Amino acid sequence: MDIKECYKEMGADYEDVLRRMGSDSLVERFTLRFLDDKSYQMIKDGIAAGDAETAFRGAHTLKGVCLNLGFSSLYEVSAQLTEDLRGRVIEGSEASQAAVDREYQRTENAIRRWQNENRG
Amino acid sequence: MRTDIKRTMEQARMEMDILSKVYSKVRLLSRDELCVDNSDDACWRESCLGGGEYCQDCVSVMSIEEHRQKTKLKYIGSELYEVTARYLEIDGKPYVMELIQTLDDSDSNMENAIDSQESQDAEVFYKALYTDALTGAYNRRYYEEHLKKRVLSAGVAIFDLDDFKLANDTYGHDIGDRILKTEVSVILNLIRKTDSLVRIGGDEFLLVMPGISQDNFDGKLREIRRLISSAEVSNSHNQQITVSIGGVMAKNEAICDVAARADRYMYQAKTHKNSISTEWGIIEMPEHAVLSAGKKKSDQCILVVDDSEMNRAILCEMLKDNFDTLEAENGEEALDMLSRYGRRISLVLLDVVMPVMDGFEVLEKMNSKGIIDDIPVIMISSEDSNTFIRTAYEMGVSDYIRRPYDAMIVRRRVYNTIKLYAKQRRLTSILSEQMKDKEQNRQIMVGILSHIVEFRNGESGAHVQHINVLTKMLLSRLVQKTDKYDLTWQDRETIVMASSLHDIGKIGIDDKILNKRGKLTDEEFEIMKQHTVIGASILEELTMYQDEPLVKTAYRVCRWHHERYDGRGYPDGLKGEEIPISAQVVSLADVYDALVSKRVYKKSFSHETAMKMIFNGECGIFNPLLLECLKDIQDDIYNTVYAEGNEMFDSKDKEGQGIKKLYEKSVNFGGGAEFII
Repeated sequence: MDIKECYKEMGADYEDVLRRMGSDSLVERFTLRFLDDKSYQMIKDGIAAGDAETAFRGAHTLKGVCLNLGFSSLYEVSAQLTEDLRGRVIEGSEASQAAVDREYQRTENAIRRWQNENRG
Repeated sequence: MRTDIKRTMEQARMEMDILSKVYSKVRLLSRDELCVDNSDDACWRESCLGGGEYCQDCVSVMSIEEHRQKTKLKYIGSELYEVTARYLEIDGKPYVMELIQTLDDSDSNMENAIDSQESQDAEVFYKALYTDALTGAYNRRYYEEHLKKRVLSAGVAIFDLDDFKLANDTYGHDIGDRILKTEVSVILNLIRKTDSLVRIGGDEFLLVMPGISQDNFDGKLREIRRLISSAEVSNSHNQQITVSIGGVMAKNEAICDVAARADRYMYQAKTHKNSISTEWGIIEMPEHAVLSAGKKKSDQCILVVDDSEMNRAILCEMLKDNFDTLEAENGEEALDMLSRYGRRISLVLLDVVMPVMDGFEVLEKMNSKGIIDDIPVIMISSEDSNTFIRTAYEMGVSDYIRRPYDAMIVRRRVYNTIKLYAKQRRLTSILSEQMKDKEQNRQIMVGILSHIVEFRNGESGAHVQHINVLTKMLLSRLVQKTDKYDLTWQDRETIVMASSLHDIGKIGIDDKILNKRGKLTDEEFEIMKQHTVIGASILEELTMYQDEPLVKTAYRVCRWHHERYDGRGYPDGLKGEEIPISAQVVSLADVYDALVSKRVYKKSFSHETAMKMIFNGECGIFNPLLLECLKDIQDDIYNTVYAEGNEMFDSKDKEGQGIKKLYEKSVNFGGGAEFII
């Protein structure tokens, strides 16, 4: 599995990100770094603590990161969650939370598989 | 047709042998050879038939680009050549076979086919089409149509005149034009015929020197810089011109790509002015700049502010080849770095939504501290509602970049914004220097003028200085106490300057009365009072400058600086606030300084006595509010005017014996009534 297939598996736009970043190695490097990104955890923490502000910022950041990396599927659901949390109320955002969870898992799994196959 | 163009090298050589029996010259050129301008056998190259200049319509280049045969006729001097370029693929690689035939008069009747006058007309036409009318360099059109796509190995440099816009605005376009012509003639004198100098736009020039070695190119650039900075521009107020130069070596690259790279180096040189910056280092700069130039890849440092480490890393990665980067993860950290590094930060990339302090708060702080004018901000966000973007622009951001970023666009926008600001910073500092010079000249002129009056009056030159200082002190106290008079900082400066002129009317008063040692008769006093009206009319007759604030204010000060608050002053007997505040302040300053100074008709009083006399109304009635101001600042007055003033008088006395001697014999110690003169 190469990076292109990895992008395909997570429902992301590889051609777009390559055009913007300019090189394969840059895309690979940042895709790998996505695993360390803390914004998804921030959403989870915020929701668990009933802290809508933190959850909103987590969603907002995740959306920005996905946009930059061309992770289109995860971008779409995190953008929806951002809008649902914009009023800083957690209630009512359950559906988009679940969508973000689902897409995040799919993205993370794809990256880990690609990582394991290529980098041991 | 495609098969017709395929050959092996052996086949091609055989063909050439045959063709060389028919043509005067036959030659085979690969794509590389075609584009490298090897000056040693330049005369043999079709593209160099024109006495070493690039052909404006090189058939070989066209042929290899369009994959077909091309033919043309060309006059070199009086000789006519026929040039045919055949496109071939030899062993799978593109080549051009050049067939050149000299068509001389005896064995050809071609000259009849081509009217020689017409051909010359065409040459003239092409020259005009591709030459910049002002400077004689190639023009932009030449660059667009013939140069930018060419792939060459060459020394390539961008030249940009330093502060050209300022010279243009200050001295006029005529001088600006001369500067450009001077620059171009210096460069053209130093380059070879095979080189091209193009005026890319405004004051930006591109120099392409094909086939030159890096060492020679380096030497050329140094020489150009040196000769331009020592060149004289005719009729230009000794305007010195300097250039910033960016230089790179192209290795089989398209000129437009290389020029963009040279432009970046030129911009680095620009931060020092009169310098050269190249791929192989900064090779020359004025001495004062050597110290400040670091050894880093660039002097430009970008502050990246974003709460997501990931986003910061992506941006830094995109910028790291061209700039140094600093990172901050929220607004507070960003402000901290801004105050720590100041202008060493060339630009801020600012995210909007962040914890602790968001992007808009950072902008607010940058506005209130005035740093937004010095350090440009580019806002970055995925928020793309129009109100959002509009607010960002209203708060002073220079640009707005939407996520997702495109590496090229980010670099380009950052670079353009920095370039603009660097230019603006330089212009601002030059402008403020010039303003300072002009302001000083203005003060000198006013000083000379008021000194003429004092000289006739036998007063020490310090009186006007004292009036200036006292007026300034009273005014700043007055605006602290009340906003009743609505005096701006500029209004106050104007009043201070006008105060120097308060007694210019004395120029019209007879010496005998002006310098009379005894008490004035009633008749003489009436004449003396006229100095107010005379001063005012002198200003009124300056018809040209009637609307100038300085003239308006000076008029009021001259005419009414002897009016008193109770209406018992002269010449018009104005009362209370009928007297303009400018005249009120100057009259109080005038009275204080007259009291503590020695005059032909009186001795000097001590500071304390003078204050007492003023507050007791012995010198007439003043605005109670102004008297309060005087009281508030009396210690300051004692220290800055009185103490220093007496010192000054002493030293002046020693130097100014000639002037003072006349009056020293019989100093009049008499009466107080005249003090209000």
